[in-house]
Amino acid sequence: MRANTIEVSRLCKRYGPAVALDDMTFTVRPGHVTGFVGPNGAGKSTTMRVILGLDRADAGTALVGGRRYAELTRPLTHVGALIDPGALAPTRSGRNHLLWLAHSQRLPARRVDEVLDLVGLAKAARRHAGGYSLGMKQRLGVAAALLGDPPILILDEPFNGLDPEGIVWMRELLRDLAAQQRSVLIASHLMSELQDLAGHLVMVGRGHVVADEPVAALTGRHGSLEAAYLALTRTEVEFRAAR
Amino acid sequence: MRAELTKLRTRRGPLLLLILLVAVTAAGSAMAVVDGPDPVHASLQGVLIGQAVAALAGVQLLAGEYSTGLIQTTWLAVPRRLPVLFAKSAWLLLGVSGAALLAVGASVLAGRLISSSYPALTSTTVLRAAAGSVLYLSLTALFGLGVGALLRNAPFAAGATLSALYVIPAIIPFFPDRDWQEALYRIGPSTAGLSIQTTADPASLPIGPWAGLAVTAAWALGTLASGGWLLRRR
Amino acid sequence: MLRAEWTKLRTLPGSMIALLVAITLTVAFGLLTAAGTHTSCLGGPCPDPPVGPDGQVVTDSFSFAHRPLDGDGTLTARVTSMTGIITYPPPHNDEIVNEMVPWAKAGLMIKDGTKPGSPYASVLLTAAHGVRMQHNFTGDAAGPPGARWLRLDRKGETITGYASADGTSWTKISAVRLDGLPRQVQIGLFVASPSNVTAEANGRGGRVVKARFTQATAVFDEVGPGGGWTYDGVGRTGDGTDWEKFHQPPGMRESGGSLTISGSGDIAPAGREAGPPLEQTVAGLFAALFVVIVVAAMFITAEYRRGLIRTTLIATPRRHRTVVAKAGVMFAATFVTGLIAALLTLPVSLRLLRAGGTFIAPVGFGVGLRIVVGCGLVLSLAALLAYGMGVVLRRGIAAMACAVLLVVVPHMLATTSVVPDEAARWLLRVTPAAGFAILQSIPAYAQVQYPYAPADGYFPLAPWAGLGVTALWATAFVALGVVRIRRGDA
Repeated sequence: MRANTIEVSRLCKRYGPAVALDDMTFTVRPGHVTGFVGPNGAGKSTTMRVILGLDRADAGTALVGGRRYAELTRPLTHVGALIDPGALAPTRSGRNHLLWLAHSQRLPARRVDEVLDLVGLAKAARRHAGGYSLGMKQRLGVAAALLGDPPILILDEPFNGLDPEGIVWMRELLRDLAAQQRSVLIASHLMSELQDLAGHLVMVGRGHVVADEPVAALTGRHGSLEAAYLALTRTEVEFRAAR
Repeated sequence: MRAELTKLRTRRGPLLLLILLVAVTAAGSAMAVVDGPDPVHASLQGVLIGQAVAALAGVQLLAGEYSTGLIQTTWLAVPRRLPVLFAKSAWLLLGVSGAALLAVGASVLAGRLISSSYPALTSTTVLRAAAGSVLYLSLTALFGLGVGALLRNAPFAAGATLSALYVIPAIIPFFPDRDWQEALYRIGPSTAGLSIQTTADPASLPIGPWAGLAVTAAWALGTLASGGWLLRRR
Repeated sequence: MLRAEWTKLRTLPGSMIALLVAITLTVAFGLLTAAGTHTSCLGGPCPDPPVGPDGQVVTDSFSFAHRPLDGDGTLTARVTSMTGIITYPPPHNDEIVNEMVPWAKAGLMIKDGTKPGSPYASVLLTAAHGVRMQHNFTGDAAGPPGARWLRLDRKGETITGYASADGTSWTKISAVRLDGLPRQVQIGLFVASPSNVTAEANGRGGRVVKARFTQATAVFDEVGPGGGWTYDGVGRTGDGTDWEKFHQPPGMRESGGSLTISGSGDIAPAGREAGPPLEQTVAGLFAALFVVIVVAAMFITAEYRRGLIRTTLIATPRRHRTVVAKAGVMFAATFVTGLIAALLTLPVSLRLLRAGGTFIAPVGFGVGLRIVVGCGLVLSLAALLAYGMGVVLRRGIAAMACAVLLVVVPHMLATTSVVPDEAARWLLRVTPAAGFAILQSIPAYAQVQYPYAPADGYFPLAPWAGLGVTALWATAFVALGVVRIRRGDA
């Protein structure tokens, strides 16, 4: 059970005088998509970066499958992540981008072609990544996240730049992944999308969790996810504006 | 014009570069001072180091914006390319020549203090070598800007500029033929331009002091003009 | 992880093209200059300078009073006086002075014939360096102080030198083996006096080396066994100088029990004056250096610029290993680049130079191998340094600039500028430019009085020591990079 959870516990982090994380605590469990929402600057990105070992927290722990990310060998077989789809070398082809990632995890090159088929990039895979549209980069990023067939997925704004067909595809993909008993954490601002897709929601503001409950419970109380979001994060937003 | 200045003012990089320019030039010069046949020339050897900094300041100014993507904002704000290039050239010239003046002044003073055979500071030879060095550093900066405008890629432009300045003098001694050596010396932006520093027997050089500086100027203006032409076509 | 980083490098078309360009630049420069070099002497091709038993170019010209020696034997003599002249030395260059250059030599020699370059062993008195035992041009051992009596003893292929202050108590200096020494050799007394050499900066970074004629005269007595001497000016060419024509010709004079010999020249390893050194053919490496510095700096800083470093660190979260793996890949790729460039350039350039009549000082297999490997190492260490800088500074241009300022500029200041020699030597001791010493094919010799200077390609540090300095710098920057990336956020 613990093998595919994300456990964030009492994370604190400051950037100089600015508080980014203030006692952030939540757990992501497998079997459903977990939405990760909150205003800009609420600490979503920082949390994800701490989970992935990119940033160091001042206090607290973030465990994936019960271990710190930096302790994982072949980490992409434990956790797949999509952080910045634009982080590509423009002259390297999409296939070669996945190839070096595969080599870094000691995965066979065959796996690269499998995930390229899965995300529908097989045709464009040998072109320079610099020429890809945002949607194609998004698909390449998802391919990279799925490369190691990980039980945990962390995706930042996966719907960005996708055309309507792509959005449908992504929604189905994420549902399937969650149904395969994977933990799927999605940071997004698209409340309507999450309302249909997510089973659980972690809402944050000013560096800590303001709501951590099933989507059904939130919509039951507030009518819609959007209304719940606005109601729950209002104080955070007002606080920001006043400051 | 104001906008370009604000851009420069609001970042630490450009100022640091200018300070670095002064520091390495003066330090290099002080190290080289000797009572040799040409103490003035020796006291200006720091320019060999400083030219790298000056050139990179030029590269960074335009090509640097390409690597951060800031250039798109610049073009949106000022759609006409040439005025931007002119404004950048002007500020670059002002900044680098100011820093070069300090650097060369310090170098010459150090030379005068350390070397006993140093000619009077107001003698025409010292003035020519010093003023020429200031001009040379400014022209190197413009050359860097020009190469940046041509290549529009900061790392490549930096590599190309530095190679042009340093590779030619490094390989000249290995050319077998004296005519080749002298031809290369006359063509090289750094070799020709630095002729201005020689005060002992400048007639023995393959190219005269002012003619040499003109070669550097031609390189700078040539790359700037072709860079500007390329910018306009895009 | 290494494999992943190699895949990364090889799938960047720009990097691979750049490394090919680096090879092309080196090869093209080498071939172009070699093909353009033609050397000829009056009336035809130049004669090759003599080559010593160990394969190095040598100077071998001196006055030799000799006779054959069959099998084993001994020769003893006392040097009663040693005088000399130097023509027009500095500072005023206006008179002939009665002085000797420090390495003026007078002594006993056993030599395999009188052909320049043939094997020999000698025990000799010098003007300023006491008694020495020298053999085969590079061998040099100091004898006891104050000695005037010299003795040379042959047993088979082994020759032993002795010296004494009074002719009764003898000190053994050294015993050397001359491999393949035939039964009959020449044994005798000799005098040599190297030119008085000075170098002056020419005001634009080059040097003018001037050599002035000198002559030494030594009087030997108590020669035993004596008699039966033949005189030869070994290695002498031309008509001689005015001094030799009008004042004192080189030669031998016997009177009573003493033997007076006058002569000039030297018996020593030759420097670059014999011909361009081997490393000159790979001077195009300087252009290649800029290319690999750009490639290496970009290898890491481009990842920072595009945010790709985060993908890298997500895939391989052990940061120090990632940094080191990248460094390893960069090192290997640039090393192979330099190696290929050298292997393509050297053989063809040498053939072209030879065809053009230019004599390139031959080097032993070991030195040749060191230079080929050195080409790879010079490039790869510069690359490593630029890469380390890139990890520390995270900005491509800054990393490149630092690498150029640390590697290329000091070398240039030291070799082609008017920086004084001592400052130049310090630059080549402490900066990463020290590593270029690995390419030096002709060493500086302590037993030769020559103004060895960085401008002529003589480095202050031994080849591998110099390379070690560069390696330390490169390692330090990579280590600094590891520290930098482990601390703080990506």
